[in-house]
Amino acid sequence: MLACEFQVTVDCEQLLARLDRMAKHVPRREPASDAHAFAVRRRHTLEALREPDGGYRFRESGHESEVHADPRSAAEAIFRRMLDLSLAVLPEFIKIHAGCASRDGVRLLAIGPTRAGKSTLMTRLLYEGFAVHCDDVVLLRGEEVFPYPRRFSIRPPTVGLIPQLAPFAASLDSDEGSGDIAFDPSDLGFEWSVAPGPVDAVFFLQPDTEGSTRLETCPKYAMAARVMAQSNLPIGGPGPWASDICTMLDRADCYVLYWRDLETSVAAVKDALLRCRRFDARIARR
Amino acid sequence: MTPVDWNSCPRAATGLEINVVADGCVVYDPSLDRVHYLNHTAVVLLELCTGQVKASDLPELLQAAYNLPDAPVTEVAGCLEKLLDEGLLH
Repeated sequence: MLACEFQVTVDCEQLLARLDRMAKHVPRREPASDAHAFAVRRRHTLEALREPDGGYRFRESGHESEVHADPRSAAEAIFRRMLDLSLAVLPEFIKIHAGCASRDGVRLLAIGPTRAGKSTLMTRLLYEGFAVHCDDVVLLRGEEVFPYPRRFSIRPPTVGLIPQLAPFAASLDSDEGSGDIAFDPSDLGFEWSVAPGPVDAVFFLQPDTEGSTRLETCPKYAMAARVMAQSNLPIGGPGPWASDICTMLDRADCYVLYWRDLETSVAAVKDALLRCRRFDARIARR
Repeated sequence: MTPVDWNSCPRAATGLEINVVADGCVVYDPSLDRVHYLNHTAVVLLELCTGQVKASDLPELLQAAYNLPDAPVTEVAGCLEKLLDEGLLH
């Protein structure tokens, strides 16, 4: 996972199956230059073993941790810890809550807090011809973002908004279907890859229960405030925080998407990308 | 709000990290660990505050910079008050 290698030992097939689904490896083109290479490699050993009196004992590199009642919570705890550890060894990266997708060489970010609709929008864009790289987290360094390679997660009601998901949702076993639905684009028949790259358009998702969906251009300095509120300081300190976000935004078109329903939101995003200055420049070069 | 002393010559705080974008800037104040988001007008005002320009001259300078019909005295006063309150000006 990114710059980390994990060895996970479990003695429960159910837990292993859950963890395998969550941590499925994403195909990734190796970076073409040293500038993108991760300099740090760490190896972590995680264990989750059944306790005699029930539950699962979680150990990290030999140190005891908490007990989890069932395979689901144990698998989720292990995976959360893997995410935290993989981020911790990349102190120069800024973590931003955002989905990332691209089409025709134009890359977009959809930024917003939890429950803003990032995963729903990203999943829907799969069916609009977009290559969707991630649904929740990107890492920023300089002017390039790196989609964080973890499985997408949507709530069951989202299937009602994206009927194409119904066959996949129905294929999950009943226990799996009781919580959020985890998948990656390859589960739905799409290619899935992640690669670093600059951003051409940034959409801040703002759910709006009144009125209709609308897309408003956002001043970059105001978008910086929104993005910084949805980002984490680099572990190494605030040094490049503001400058990297400003660098990213300065080359991108910035919008606030006040979204009322999914279909009009998708149409607004596609329309904005057609007007995107990078898209225009690329077409002009043809 | 800190009232503006029109006879003073305000000066931008030292050590500010100013990151420019197309329509404004993001200012990080490491001494207070605070981030500020300024539009163009506020940035111009901040940059004019060198410690050598009297506050009373700022409205006319902005009038000239933006080719305004009148000197924006009220707007400058409001902006200066905010910048002073946020510690970006002394």
